[in-house]
Order: sequence, then C-alpha cells, then structure tokens
Amino acid sequence: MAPPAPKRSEHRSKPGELQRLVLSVRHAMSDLFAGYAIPEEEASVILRDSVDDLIRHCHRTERPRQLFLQVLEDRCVAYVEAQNAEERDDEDRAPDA
Amino acid sequence: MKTEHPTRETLEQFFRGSVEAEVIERVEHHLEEEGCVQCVLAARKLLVEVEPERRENLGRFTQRDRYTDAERLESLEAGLQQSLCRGTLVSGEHTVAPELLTELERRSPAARREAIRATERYQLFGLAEYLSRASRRAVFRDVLRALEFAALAVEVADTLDPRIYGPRFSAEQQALARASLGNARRIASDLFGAERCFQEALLLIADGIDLTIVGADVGSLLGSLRIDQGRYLEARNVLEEARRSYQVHELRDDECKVLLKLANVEGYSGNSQRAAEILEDAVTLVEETADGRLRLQAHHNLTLWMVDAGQALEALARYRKAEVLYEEHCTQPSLALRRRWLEGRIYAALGDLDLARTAFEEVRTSAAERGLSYELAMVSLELAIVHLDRGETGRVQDLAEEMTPIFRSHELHRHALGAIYLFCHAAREETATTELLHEIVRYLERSRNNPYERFRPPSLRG
Repeated sequence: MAPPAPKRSEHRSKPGELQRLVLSVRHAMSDLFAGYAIPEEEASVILRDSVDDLIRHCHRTERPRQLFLQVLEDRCVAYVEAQNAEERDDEDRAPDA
Repeated sequence: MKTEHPTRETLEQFFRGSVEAEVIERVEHHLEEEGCVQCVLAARKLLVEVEPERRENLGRFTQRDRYTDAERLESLEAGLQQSLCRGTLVSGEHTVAPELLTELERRSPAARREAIRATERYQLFGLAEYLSRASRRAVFRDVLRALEFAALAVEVADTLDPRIYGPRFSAEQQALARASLGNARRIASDLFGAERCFQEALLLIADGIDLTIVGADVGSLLGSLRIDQGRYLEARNVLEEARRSYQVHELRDDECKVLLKLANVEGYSGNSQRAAEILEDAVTLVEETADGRLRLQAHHNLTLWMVDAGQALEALARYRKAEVLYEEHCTQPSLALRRRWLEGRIYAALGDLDLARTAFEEVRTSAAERGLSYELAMVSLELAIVHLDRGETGRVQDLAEEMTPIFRSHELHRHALGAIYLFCHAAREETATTELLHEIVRYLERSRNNPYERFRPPSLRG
C-alpha cells in the first residue's frame, strides 16, 4: 500500500498569512537589495526564488518570517560573493601594465 | 463526491490571481483537498503561460526608480498571489501522488520507468518530492521498497520541465531524489552505489550545501553515509554545515536530526562524553516539538551515550524522565525492544546483573522470534558480558553454541560474522574477556551498513 499523502497543513500555511508576511517585510526587502547593491534584474530573481522557497519550506519552521528574510539575505550575500570572485578572476587574468 | 471541475478559464484566472476569494477557495479545495488528477494536469500546463506575468509583477517591485511605491506594492501583491497559486498546484500534486503511485505500482518495475519517461501524467514535482520522502520514511522498515521509491523519484525528477518548475527547483528535486536513493543504498549496505548517488546530487546543487535548505537536507543524508563509511572527520564537517543552515533558518526538528548524527560521530570516534553533551542540546532543542518520536529518539540516544560514558545514575534519571514518551510511542514492537534493551544496559552499568540478564534475555527472545539476526547477535554478546561478570563461563559457552543460526542468516556481512566467530572461538577456549566483547558490540553497532569494515581485535592493534 502507498504511504499516506502529507496533509495540507504539513506542506502549506494559510496562503493569506504568507502573503501578509511577505508584504509586512517589503521595506526590509527593499533595504536589503539596496544595501547589497543588487541590480534590479538579479533582485527580481532573488525575490522570486525566495518566495518559492518560503512556500515550499514554511511548514518546517515555526518562524516563516525569519526563514524568508534569511533565505533572501543568503541569496544577496551569495550574489555579492560571486560578483567579487568574478572580479578577482578578471584581475588575475589582466595582463601586467 | 468531488466538486465540479473548474473551467479552463477559471483555472487561468486563478493562476493569474484575478478571481474573487470565493473562487480561489473553491479551486484550492478542488486541487489540494480533493486531489483532482485531471485538473492538476490541466493546471500545470497553464503555469507556463502565466509565469511571464508573475516574473513581471515580482520584477516590478524591485524597480524603485521606474514605479511609484503604490504601483510596486500592487505588483508585489499580484506576484505573491500568483506564487501562492503555484504553491497550490504543487500541493495538489502532493495530494494526487499516492493515486499516481498506485497506478505505477500496478505495472512491472521496468514498465513503471517507461511510463514515467513517456507520460506527462507522472512528470510532477509533487510526485518526485513525495516519492523521495516515501523512500526516506520506508528505509528502516522495508529497504527494498525504499530503493524502489527512490529510483522512481529519480526518474520523475529527471523528467521535470524547468519551464514549469524553474531550473533551480528542478535541479534541487533531482538532487534530493538522488540523495534519497543514496540513503536507501546505504541502508542496503551498497556503500559504493550510495557514494555515486551523492556525488551526482552534489553536482546538481553546485551552489553549495550551506546555502539552500535542500542542500542541507542532502548534506544531512550525506553525513549518515560518511558515518557508515567510518569517515568521521568528513561526516562532522558536512553535518556541521547542514546544522548551521538549519540553525539560521530556525528549522529545529531538522537541526535535532543532525545533532543525533553528530553525536554518533563523536560516540563512534570514542568520545561518548561529547556525544552525550551534543544530545543534551538536542533534547533542549526539541522540547516543544510536535514530533514526539523525535523527542523520544533524542532522550533515548542521550541515555545510551550516558551509559557508554559511565554515567549510569544520570542515565537512569534520564530514562525515568522519558518514561511518558516511551509509554506514548512504545506500542510498536521495535521500539519496545529498544526500550527493554536500554533498560538492560542501564542495569548492567549500575551493576544490577540479575535485572540486566532478565532484560537482555527478553530482548534476545524477541529478536529471535522476529528474525532480527543483527540484534540477536548484539544482545547475545551483551548477555555474555553479564555472564562473564558473574563468572558463569559455562553460560557464555552455551550462548556461543546458540549463535549457530546467526551464521545461517543473510543479514550479517562476512566481517561481522568473522567478529562473532572470534567470540565463539574465545568462548570455547575460555579466553573471552569483557573487553573483547565490548569491542565486538561497538564494532557491530557502527559497521552494520558497512560490509567493508573489518573487526580488529584490541590485541592486534598497534
């Protein structure tokens, strides 16, 4: 026999709550993007992925707000680090003056 | 009876977020609660069409210079609504997953794979996730079933359309399916096969396991493999990384599961005191969890490592504290057996050899009745230690003679059998010592899934 399907509450909070949660931190999101100087196009991808992550994983935490902001910041930091690494690579490859 | 199917137009409006709350509720109920396969499949096709609009809405929120705050807020609200509708679809996919799995299981194993590859009906994110989870849940109960679930999860995950689910989420699901297959292979003692699965999983989440939650999930499973391989340093590193990730996201139950594994790393490395300290943290962490079994596991393992660290009285107190949890969960025979076994170990550590013997004998009978050869071998050795402590060498020899059925079982790998043979030989020669027997028990405990690890008797070590 197949194992039982997870209950709705196991994999999703009430949609209204999640929407309110994200809306309530919209200023913090804008500040994060500005603080890490994330370009608009990249910020849009980060926001989309973080929202999808929140929807997928919110059932596993008591603190979805913390989860969302942390995932968002992790992605900003990862982007900045990737950019810095790319710049370092470019510098390494540049011919000596 | 299922409610009426929503029309294509209603579904499209639902995913565009342009219907009233009452219609949203109706569609959600139909997809998520009723699990209508037909509508779930119709809905996922619509997602490709609606995705550009969602991207635009969420993208507009990030463009501070081009839009007013009111416009940005409006776009964010619309984008979120559309994102939640995507979540509804994946939930719906979860709901229909058992039905689709039953369909698949009616076919032969080869035909199941062909059906997944050839039919869009099975190419669902929710089905892949469900199968991976089903595999991890079944793994200790029925490893063959766990292997089959995970193999199907890999097939499904590899067919996911990135236009519907996004390339990153599709890759994550592929990684998780491979990690689940690797985990099932580990339990089946196929450590090389497990290693290959995890190498593939790590390539798929090349972002690094410290960044994503799925990365941490893969890392946690990989940690179990490293423990079974005896690669404790790597196990510690990968588990610490997974723990950090769960910590920052405040996923406490997941963090606790990692702590249980970290404690094994320390305990198997010979530091049972440190193992107990880690488990103290785990117990505190899950004090308020809804998962009673996880709480019990943390208490149980803590008591075990306390006994191993020579803290018999503290272990007894800890055991008494967890008795309510045992009462709640020990309706399953396997848990009742572990409970009685732990009692035996506590009594033995306290020097109460009569009670220890009674407990071990009960566990031994139960393991023999249920055909659990590995457990039977281990508890027989622990019983032999009690007999040795009581100076009953004749009983030790009897036990050695009674171990013959274990050699006929296919549950133990050859190095484990070698270690047990060593005990039988020592018992016959009356040279068995409690030190040797403790070493064999510890070896059997950590090498259960590793058929490549040899037993090295203390006398042969440098």
